[in-house]
Amino acid sequence: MAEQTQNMLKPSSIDELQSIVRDASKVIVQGREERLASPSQKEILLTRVSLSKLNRILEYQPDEYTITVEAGAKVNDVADALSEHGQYLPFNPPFADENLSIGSIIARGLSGPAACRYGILRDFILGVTLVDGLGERIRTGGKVVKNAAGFDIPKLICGTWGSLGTMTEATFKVFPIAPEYRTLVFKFSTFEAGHSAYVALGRSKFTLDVLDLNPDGHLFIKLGGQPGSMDNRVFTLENELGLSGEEPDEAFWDATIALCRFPEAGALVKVATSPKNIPALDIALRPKGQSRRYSINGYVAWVHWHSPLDELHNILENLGLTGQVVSGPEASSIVGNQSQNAFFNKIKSAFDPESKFPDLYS
Amino acid sequence: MSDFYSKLRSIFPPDRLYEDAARVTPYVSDGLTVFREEPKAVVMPISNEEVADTLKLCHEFEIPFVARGSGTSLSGGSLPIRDGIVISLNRLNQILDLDPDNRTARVQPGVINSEISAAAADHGLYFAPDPSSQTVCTIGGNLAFNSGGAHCLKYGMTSNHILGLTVALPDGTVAELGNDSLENAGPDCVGLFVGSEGLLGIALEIQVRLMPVPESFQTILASYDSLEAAGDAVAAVVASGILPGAMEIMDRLAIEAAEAAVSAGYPEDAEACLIVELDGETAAVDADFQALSTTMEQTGAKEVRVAQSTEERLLIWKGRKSAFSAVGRLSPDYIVQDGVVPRSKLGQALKDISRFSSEAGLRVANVFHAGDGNLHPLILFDATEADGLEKAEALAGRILRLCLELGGSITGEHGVGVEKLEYMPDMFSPTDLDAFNRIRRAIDPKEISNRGKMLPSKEAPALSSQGPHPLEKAGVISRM
Amino acid sequence: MISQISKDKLGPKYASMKEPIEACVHCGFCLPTCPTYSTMGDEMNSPRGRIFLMKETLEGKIDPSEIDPFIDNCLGCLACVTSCPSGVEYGELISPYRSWSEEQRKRGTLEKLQRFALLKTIPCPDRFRAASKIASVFKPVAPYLPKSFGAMIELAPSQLPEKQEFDPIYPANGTRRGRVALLIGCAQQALAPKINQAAINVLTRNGIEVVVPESQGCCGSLAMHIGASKEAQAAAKKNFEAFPDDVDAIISTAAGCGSGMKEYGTLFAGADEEIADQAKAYSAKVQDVCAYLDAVGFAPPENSEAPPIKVAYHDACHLAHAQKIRSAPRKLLQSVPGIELLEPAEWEICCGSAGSYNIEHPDTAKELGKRKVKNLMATNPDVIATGNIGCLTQIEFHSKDSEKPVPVVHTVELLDGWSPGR
Ligand SMILES: Cc1cc2nc3c(=O)[nH]c(=O)nc-3n(C[C@H](O)[C@H](O)[C@H](O)COP(=O)(O)OP(=O)(O)OC[C@H]3O[C@@H](n4cnc5c(N)ncnc54)[C@H](O)[C@@H]3O)c2cc1C
Ligand SMILES: Cc1cc2nc3c(=O)[nH]c(=O)nc-3n(C[C@H](O)[C@H](O)[C@H](O)COP(=O)(O)OP(=O)(O)OC[C@H]3O[C@@H](n4cnc5c(N)ncnc54)[C@H](O)[C@@H]3O)c2cc1C
Ligand code: SF4
Ligand code: SF4
Repeated sequence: MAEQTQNMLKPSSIDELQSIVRDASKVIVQGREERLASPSQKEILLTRVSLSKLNRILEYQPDEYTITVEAGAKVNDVADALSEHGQYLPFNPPFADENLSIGSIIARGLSGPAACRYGILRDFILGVTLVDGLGERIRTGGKVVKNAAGFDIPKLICGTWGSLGTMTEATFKVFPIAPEYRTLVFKFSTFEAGHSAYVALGRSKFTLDVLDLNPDGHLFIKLGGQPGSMDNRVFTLENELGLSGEEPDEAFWDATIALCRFPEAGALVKVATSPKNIPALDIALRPKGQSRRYSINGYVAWVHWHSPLDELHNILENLGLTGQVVSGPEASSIVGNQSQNAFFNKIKSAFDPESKFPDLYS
Repeated sequence: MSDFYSKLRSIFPPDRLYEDAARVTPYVSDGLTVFREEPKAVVMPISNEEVADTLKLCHEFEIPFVARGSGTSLSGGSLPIRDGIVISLNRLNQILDLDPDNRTARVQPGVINSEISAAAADHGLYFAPDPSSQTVCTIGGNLAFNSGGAHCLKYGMTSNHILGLTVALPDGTVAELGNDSLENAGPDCVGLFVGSEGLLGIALEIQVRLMPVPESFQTILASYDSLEAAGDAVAAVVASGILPGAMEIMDRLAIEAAEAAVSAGYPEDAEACLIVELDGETAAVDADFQALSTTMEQTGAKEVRVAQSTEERLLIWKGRKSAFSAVGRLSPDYIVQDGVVPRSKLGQALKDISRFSSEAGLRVANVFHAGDGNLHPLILFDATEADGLEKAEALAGRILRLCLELGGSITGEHGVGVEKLEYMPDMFSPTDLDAFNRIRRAIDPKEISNRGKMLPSKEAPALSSQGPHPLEKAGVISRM
Repeated sequence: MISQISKDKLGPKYASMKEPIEACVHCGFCLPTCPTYSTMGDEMNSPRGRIFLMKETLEGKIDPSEIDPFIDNCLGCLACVTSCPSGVEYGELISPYRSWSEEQRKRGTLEKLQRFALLKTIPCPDRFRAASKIASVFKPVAPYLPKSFGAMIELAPSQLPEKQEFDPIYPANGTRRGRVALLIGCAQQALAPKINQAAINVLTRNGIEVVVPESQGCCGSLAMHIGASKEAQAAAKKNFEAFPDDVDAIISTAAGCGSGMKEYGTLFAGADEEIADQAKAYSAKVQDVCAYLDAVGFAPPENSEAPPIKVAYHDACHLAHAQKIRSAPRKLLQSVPGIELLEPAEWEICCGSAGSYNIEHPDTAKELGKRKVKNLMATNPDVIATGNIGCLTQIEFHSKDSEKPVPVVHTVELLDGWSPGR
């Protein structure tokens, strides 16, 4: 039988997890049980499961550039293990201060600013094992860097917030850490000027690790490579931009949307957008005075929202954009365009015919 | 049933609905000609509505259908289904929109892969996935198989470059999945649709991601005395921490064939050659090149050549990309396998394959995406021999099982199709397969969309590993 | 690709069709450069589809008449040969197949009449001259005639140049470096005798003696192209007699004729040994004028005042694909002072001329002609050069509608010092 504290079940094997799911009528997975003292009224009816005991690194052979870990493993522990061998998760899992679990980072579908170089979470997740709503253990994808057999569940699962099942294991493709990095901030005087440079850089020959933009027009850039080449590359970049870069100040990393931790209050919303859409989005958000940050070269907008979520929903819907709340009480809610809704709900019914896991789209 | 066809005739004029032998026969096979099947009809839609209406009709009458791009699938993916129809997408071949600032293009499924890059070239952009068949195959086919290519090592497969989709589901409803961003908000339904081998419906519009053309390339051609040595060299480069854009190996047979086809100047006395290409900012490429050269020096290469011009570089790639077809010069009949092994086990896998090959008395040519550990053994056989194909398939099976034993996969990019159906249970448990089937039925309860492919289903109940193909036994397919 | 074609059933004349069919691995690499596939987008109008249909037909699974339309649609441009990595010699399949199926087929009367008219007129310069005069009379009513008859008339030049006779021999200037015989061609001789004249000028100036056999006739390529192998053989035999043996090469200025004559081996497959050998020997001597000049060495005309000109070069299919000659004409042109060579997009796609194709299949030919002209004009040339009279007329015809039509000339004319004012 799984260990239990404060109404929280802590299976130490997949078999235990399977029987918990089979026996339960409603299941919720919580990776970070230490954060909540007691379940809320609503949650008391749920079977709450923590994967804190399923936290091992199962397979890591550095010369293979893949790693397989249990879902309860902390992202930071995994990153440490990798960096010992000069490797990293190229999708740059954010919110390091939150010490999220691997399962949670996948469920939340989170990638950080440095995903700019090689791709986001979905591009680096090779395989996933999960326990579905029938309590079945499903192994999908593979452990090699390339695999075209079967449906690509590992990609599908990103951003599903535990609605399809409980992940127990995941395999990632990893890359070598560059021998040297430089971080620079380019302080354009207006948003417009910063944005033009932002779009131009995205189309340019520069291969940047981070390319973020703040509404004040400041551009944050990180680039990595062989030590001998860095001065030269920075020089070319500065030439191109007609500005010299500065070391970013502390204020930037302390800002609300530093992507190190979740904000204390309000909702942090991840909006999928595109470089050209940003001015329209920025203009729409300005009247509310919400803080925001454009990341991954303009494909993501992080919005810290304090007003009712419906308002953001309307703004995004008008612009044809979609966002997902990643922290706060309304976490997992999808705002704006909901066009995937019907398709996804069919898929959910296949994984979880008895609706034991939370719904994603209402 | 005749009702179905009369309704179909009301959707398509006679010059876009083929029911006569001369117009149907050219569609009986794809790139895997050992299988053939006559469809009842072939339709050639020119609008999204026509596709959706056709699917509605198929759903109503429970008529199976298969979408077809350029028919270059090597796993029987676009093989017609008995009593079903083929939906040929070759006239849905427009690039609808190209947005250089967003670095995206919206294209119809029948657009040829390399045409996207050609259209984007004016803006300094390109579409990264580059299957060897890129001058022929369609983006719809690439999407269905999550096709890869030489340069997917660094930039990922087709799936990593598809952002949004308009799809016709198997019941004819049209859905929008994903968006025009690289990031998702909510589940990655596009990720599920890509690589689903046509089982979840037909993609009608595809939003692809474009990337800036790298500023510089360095392409190195190294020759080796043995195939294992080349395999070990790949492991050494991977371990060195350099991330090349591509790493490809060809063995002697493949070199011979490719050289005959394009005269690329490959080393003719070598047992194997390794192509390594670096790409990116000039300063970064130059620095990586230094590091790579040092690593390569220790791999025991007989000869190392660096492409001196763009022409030379393109010729090296043209030869590599022609290799599959060029092997037709060595043997008119061959089957290509597509298994994946962990990269550190490449040398071992290649040694075992060569042993299997001599034990079976069949020649095997190897030309593959070494950087990904994605093998492509081409098994040459004589189809006029009574048991020629059987022998070849037995060898193919042995190779695939080897890949699984080494912790790999039965397919890296060509898909399961009909050809590798029988190995799915070796890779996935009955529970895994059942989950796949549940997903499939949630979207396509009548299982009409590319029935009989990828998933062992009601059409192909019993799977055996020896003798005639299970689908053959079940009468689903027949051989030429 | 395995086939069940029986060589015995086909007999010695046609047995060789089995090889290209079996060499095809069905990979589809030939699809994008096939002009009919790229305009129609269906498999039966692609090389891979045609090969497959011919296989099925030769195996007895489909009646040849059913696949006729798709075989007829083929332009015989051989772009598919260039793009095939597996080395399928499509040309060695389509020609004998056409002849084989011609033996099996019954054509409609109108179509027969038209083919007859074509076969009889184009190959004979005098008759061609007469016919095109009649055609020009009918031009105003062309739209009311059956489509393809209309095309035949539409394309016929309304005015032909003066008829030109050649001397039997033109001695070399300076030291004689070689001796060749020139095939003057039939349509070309009527439409543009200046091309042969230019060839003679360039050759003799470069020290080559040129013989123009008086009793020569049509080479038979056009007949071969549409499957009339009997007519083709008769024409070829006539030239075997007409051409002298003591020449280094038989020079053609028309790519279509050159490639056809190089295929005599296939044309006479299964014929008696003596004539087959004669055919092979004749074929072996055939050379395109540019390839020959490039091989023996070419000195450009001395004309220091020539203004710089931008030349868009069009690869004639029968030169580039059928004879695999692409670099020689480019090299020669670039050696002429003042010439800047331009490369149009889609070089591998046919202009739609392809022998008599623009007459038998006017719609596709028109579409291809327009597409070719668009690509050529996009390079913004002063003049367009090509190595085949068919392409020349087709491109000239379709560029009439362009904003700023430019002259279309044969490569050899430029080598002879052609300039816009001349
Ligand atoms: C004002 C307010 C502030 C709050 N602040 C906090 C706070 O600071 N910290 C906090 O933890 N909670 C906070 N909550 C509650 C929080 O929103 C969640 O209800 C709860 O904490 C679960 O969060 P988690 O981070 O432990 O889950 P995580 O473990 O991070 O999981 C996040 C999501 O991923 C899913 N998931 C995790 N692991 C897996 C897996 N292996 N397989 C499938 N799905 C998985 C979970 O089901 C969940 O949907 C707050 C609530 C309110 C109202
Ligand atoms: C010589 C040669 C070399 C090759 N090299 C490579 C290589 O390097 N890498 C690689 O990955 N593959 C390679 N292939 C395999 C093949 O080219 C790819 O699988 C390609 O993606 C197939 O594209 P197609 O247009 O020919 O699709 P088809 O063969 O026509 O169809 C393939 C599958 O896609 C489905 N499909 C097609 N369009 C749609 C649509 N719009 N919506 C849904 N489903 C659809 C079909 O139903 C079928 O299941 C090669 C093939 C050949 C012959
Ligand atoms: S390219 Fe060659 S082998 Fe491939 S289909 Fe065409 S003819 Fe056949
Ligand atoms: S000869 Fe030309 S038209 Fe005919 S199949 Fe080949 S490429 Fe197509």
